[in-house]
Amino acid sequence: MKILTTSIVAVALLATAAFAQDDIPLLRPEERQAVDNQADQFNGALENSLSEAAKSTVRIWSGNRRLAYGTVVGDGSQIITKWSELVGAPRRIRVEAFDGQVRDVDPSGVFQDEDIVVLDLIGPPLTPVKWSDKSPKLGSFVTAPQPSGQPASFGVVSVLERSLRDSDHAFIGIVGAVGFDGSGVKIHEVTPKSGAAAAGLKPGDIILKVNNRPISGLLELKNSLVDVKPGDTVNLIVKSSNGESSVPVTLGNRPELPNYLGDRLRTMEGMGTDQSRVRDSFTNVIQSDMRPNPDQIGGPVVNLDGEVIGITMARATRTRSFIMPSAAVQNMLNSEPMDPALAAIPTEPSDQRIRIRPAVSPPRQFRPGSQQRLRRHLSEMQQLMDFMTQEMEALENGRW
Amino acid sequence: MRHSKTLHLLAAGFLLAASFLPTQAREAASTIADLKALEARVQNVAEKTMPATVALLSDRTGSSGSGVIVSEQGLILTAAHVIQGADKVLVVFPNGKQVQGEVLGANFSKDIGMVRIIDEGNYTFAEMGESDHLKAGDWVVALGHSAGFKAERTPPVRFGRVISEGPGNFLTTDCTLIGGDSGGPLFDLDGRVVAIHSSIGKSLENNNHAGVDGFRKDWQRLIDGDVWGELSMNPFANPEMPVIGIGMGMIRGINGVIVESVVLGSPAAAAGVRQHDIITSVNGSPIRDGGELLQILAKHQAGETIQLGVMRNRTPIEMAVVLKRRNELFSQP
Repeated sequence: MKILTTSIVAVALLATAAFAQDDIPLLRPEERQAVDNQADQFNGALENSLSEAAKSTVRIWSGNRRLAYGTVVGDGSQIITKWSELVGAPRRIRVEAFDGQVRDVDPSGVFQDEDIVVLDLIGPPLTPVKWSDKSPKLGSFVTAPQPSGQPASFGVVSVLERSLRDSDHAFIGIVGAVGFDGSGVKIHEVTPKSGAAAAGLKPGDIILKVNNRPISGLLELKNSLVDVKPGDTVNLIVKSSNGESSVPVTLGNRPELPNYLGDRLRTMEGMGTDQSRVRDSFTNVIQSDMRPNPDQIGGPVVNLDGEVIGITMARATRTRSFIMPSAAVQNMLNSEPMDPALAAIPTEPSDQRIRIRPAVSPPRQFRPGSQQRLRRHLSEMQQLMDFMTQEMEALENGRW
Repeated sequence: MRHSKTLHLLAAGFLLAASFLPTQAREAASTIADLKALEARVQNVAEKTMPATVALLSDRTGSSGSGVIVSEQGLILTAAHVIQGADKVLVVFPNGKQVQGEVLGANFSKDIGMVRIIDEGNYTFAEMGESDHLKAGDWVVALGHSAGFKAERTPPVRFGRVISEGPGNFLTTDCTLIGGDSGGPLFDLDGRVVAIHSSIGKSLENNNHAGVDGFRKDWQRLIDGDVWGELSMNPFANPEMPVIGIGMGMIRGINGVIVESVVLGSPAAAAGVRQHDIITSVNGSPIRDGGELLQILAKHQAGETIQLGVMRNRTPIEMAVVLKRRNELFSQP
């Protein structure tokens, strides 16, 4: 009980301090100034790498609402952008180019897996993007320009290219025994109709090696299968009641599992972050720590030489954004898109909460009346409550 | 002061801390060439430190955090709250290899802890850097097993800079963190460990890390398996909070903090601070009220010497005050 009392006091203090001024309780004005000046300098330097790509970056509007960025592709007569941000747009979609010209477009195709829509430009072409096939290294600097040529968001490559889909990963079909202390993975259960079942693996068998790599436990077993494609065959060394033997196993596709995040992790993922509607189910992505807003997704991403290495694909969480690499974009554009009228309405399968994102209105319509103030007040109270709940949970669990 | 009452309660008695920091040349970022030089160092840090960035899993507590190996023999630095309640942890390398780790000591007030890999081996490790001199604008790189160990990806790399110093041994950066990163390493541009991930606030700029110099000060106790301190989300209530030992008066209309009482045997008493002195600055930064004094002291650590600017009978005086920990001055209830 003592702990709980202490934590309530602590939470109240932290939360009020955070909302009274800045979120960082001990931030001094001179520190704020130092990091702001540094950011200005940094962004100024970055601009030198953005001028070319900015000409192929457009802003997508529906009436007065900013929906997304787009990338001018092909011969300059088409634009690709994020499909889920355009669905249900209340007004006609138009695009604004780097020089301020506003153009009409017609949606002509949808790539559902990538959540990309193709817009045909009406009238003369714009400047198409020049793709670079360079694969950035881990830690490389990546920037998404605004159409104006300033940086919209900056980050580094956090994780090299991979697929986020469970079904793209190989699946062996065993459940490991918990609490098994020896080396290798002791099988607790074999999934029916899986590769493991077809190869005759049984509960109690111990997997010692995968393709000659000794396996220390379940996580290493998973890791050893990361580079294996569904349909490939791996050679296991298995210890059973009959002694050690070599067993070839042909792997299947991992089933799509519902992604139940803990509530606390889910809360943290959204902290300080406006997340894209569709964000977690792509096949080819580079993960970065860029922080674009959802209405800045769909434009080109460049390296420090100004070469376009991909497009922004989603703002996923507090720590993650996804980039679709140039090669994957070009492959996609070489395939046949779907008729937009037939495409399903995109949703994130793991997202079980309904989110309402406030629309950005132009200044002339923005007259803060009592209704708006009340709404803002309520949303601030909600934020405060969320914040306090998070802090309480962190204290009670003592970890995160 | 909206929270003057609370602050007064805290301040009456506990007071607080400061330091002189060596200035070090920071990498410039005003041209593309500067940025390329910076990028090369971040790439290098990511590649070099990845194998030393481990995930720590506990069956017993169900907790999943991160850690960093800092010796060839497999000594791991992590956060106290990652190993809370565990005496053994599973240590998982980015390639999925897993070994057993023995939990050593932890200081919860600093949120620092240690684990040792049980099997002897030649482990890839990261060197330890220094954290006490870090200040707003210093570039840093964060790694960690975000949201737990994931076989299909390596621990994500994040880049940013120090936003704010303190409280105490902690520092705040804009390297975005999330659950699972706890205990993971923050590196300088040479790939040396400068801090361990601890907590986040709502803002993307509010990611908090425990400085590596805090480990050095508690090294032997941690190695010996001592567990002490308390986890606190309120920096002013932290037992390690540095104090000067005065009671603050709350008179409005004064620029500064009026000393209402001086605690016997406190740093303030030793430095010659007297009742009714008005504290007007710390290390040359003007102090307008009690809240600001607390805020500045919280950014320092016990043992450091601060220059206190005081008005006495309308005459400015400077005095050097050596800060103490709150729990050195006031026994804990």
